[in-house]
Amino acid sequence: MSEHYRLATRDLSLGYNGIVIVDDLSLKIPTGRFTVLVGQNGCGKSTILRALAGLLAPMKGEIFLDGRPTRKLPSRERAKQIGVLTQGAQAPDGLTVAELVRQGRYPHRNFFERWSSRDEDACAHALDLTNMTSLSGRQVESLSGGQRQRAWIAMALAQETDILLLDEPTTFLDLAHQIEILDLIRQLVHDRGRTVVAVLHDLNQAARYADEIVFIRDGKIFDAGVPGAVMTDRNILDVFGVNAIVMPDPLSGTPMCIPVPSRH
Amino acid sequence: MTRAIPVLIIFNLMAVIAAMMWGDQSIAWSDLANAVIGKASPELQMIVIEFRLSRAILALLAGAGLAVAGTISQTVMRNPLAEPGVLGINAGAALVASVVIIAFSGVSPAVLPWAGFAGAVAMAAAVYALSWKRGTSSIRIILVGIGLSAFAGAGTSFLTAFGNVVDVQRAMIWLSGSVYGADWSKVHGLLIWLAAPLALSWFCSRQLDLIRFGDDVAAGLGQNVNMMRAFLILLCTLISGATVATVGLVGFVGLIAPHIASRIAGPSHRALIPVAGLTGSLLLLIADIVGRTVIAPAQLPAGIVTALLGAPFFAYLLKGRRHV
Repeated sequence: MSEHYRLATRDLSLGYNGIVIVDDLSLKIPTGRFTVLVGQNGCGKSTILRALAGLLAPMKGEIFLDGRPTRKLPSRERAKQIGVLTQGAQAPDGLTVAELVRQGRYPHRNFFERWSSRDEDACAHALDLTNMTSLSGRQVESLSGGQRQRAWIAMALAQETDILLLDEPTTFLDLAHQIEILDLIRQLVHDRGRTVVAVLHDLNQAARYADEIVFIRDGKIFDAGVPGAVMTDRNILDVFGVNAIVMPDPLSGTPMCIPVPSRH
Repeated sequence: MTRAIPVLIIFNLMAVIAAMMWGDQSIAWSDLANAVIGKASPELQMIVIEFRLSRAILALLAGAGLAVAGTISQTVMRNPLAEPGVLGINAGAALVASVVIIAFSGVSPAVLPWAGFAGAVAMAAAVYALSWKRGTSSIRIILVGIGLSAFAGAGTSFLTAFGNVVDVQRAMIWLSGSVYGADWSKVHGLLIWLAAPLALSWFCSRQLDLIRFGDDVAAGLGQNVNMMRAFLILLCTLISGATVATVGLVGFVGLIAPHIASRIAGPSHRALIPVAGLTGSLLLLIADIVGRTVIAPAQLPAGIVTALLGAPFFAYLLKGRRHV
């Protein structure tokens, strides 16, 4: 594996209870880029993300980090390199934002290691990046959906991993908060060289923000590449079964897709 | 850490003093002081130090054990109602103790704690093994635990229905949970059993803080969830198994004390574990004082008092909560 693809899979098969969801997947995640997985519900996007994060053991095949199979990597070592934010994570009752974010330091501390100034700095920085500093004393359950999502992202940022995997980070957020999260991701990738992989549902947002889009259909890569190359009416029809017109976004010039109602 | 700890320690000390003074024979302050420094009459010395103080300390230890075990199981199971009983510990201890008392009524009572402990550990191991399916999950452990507990409960019921009446009554007294008949050797025994697991629980605060988030978050942050869960369940089993073996089935302390503690100390286990331990010890000691004074000279087992006082109090605690 070259430097450009620190995280990759080879012949990866994934599933639950013997049912195969993802079959023979060979995926390369470009380092220092924002990769977005798109596809229909149930196509295996989240399953792929969970496997990349080490939350789901492969049925077959291998996941590589820096060329080494990740199943040989102790989970704590993996968690220093790869951070993940799954859907539906819930904070325990009564936990404050600051306490949530502190959990992000878990992989960096040994059993008897005390809280260090470096841990403190990482948390402060994560809260600052997500605009959560002023809310750090609030209980997580008292926050709005957008604030809560930012608090969880802050936790993942406090983990200080080079690679960050986000499963639908913008779902259930209003437009302003969606944009805020996507801008934050872009900032992390372009200014700080992080590698981010996210599952997104909004194709136009994917096209505008992603460096690379991976279309997933039935657990396989249908097409992958820069948005300008792969966000085509053909791919949208084949992957989503939706007729769409693709035209340049008047603002960014990235492809913009307009679904055509089937009655037309 | 938290101001609650010194306050709780003072309350515990006050309860110990009350336990030494009150009973079917009230002890005056001056006699108490003399007994403590060893200058009272042998008879008084016997009552205050050998009977009442050892009993009070046993209640403190057992209460702390039940509360810490409850805190661990509620955290690991991610369920506010998951007291250690869901691991099958109580049912296993009850079954094996009943077998020993009823089916082998000639056996020395000294075997009883060992039998109870063995039953507790065997059941917890069975629950864990049966809920294993490429890893465990909290909900599977809870469901298997309830199932196996019912199974063991049926065995206990069978024994009590067909056993010799005198033996059955002995078994029922043991089952209801009591610090009756405490002495210093029981105190030492329980202390030796509990010291290391209680200390380890506190050292695992950070692991407990994280595992409570659930498997995905904990594993994503690098915790080996299955191994940690097994280890924490083992700690919980050792603590509550030893406690149940010594004092029988004392209900509700393991359920209520962690709830009270989290109200006082917040969600971090570094504070939660000691606060829960001190709360549990105070609860059980108060329950025992109430149990042996309220209808003196007869005595109510502490386990019955904790259930009588605990159930309404628990309802009150739940009233203010949103997520149960």
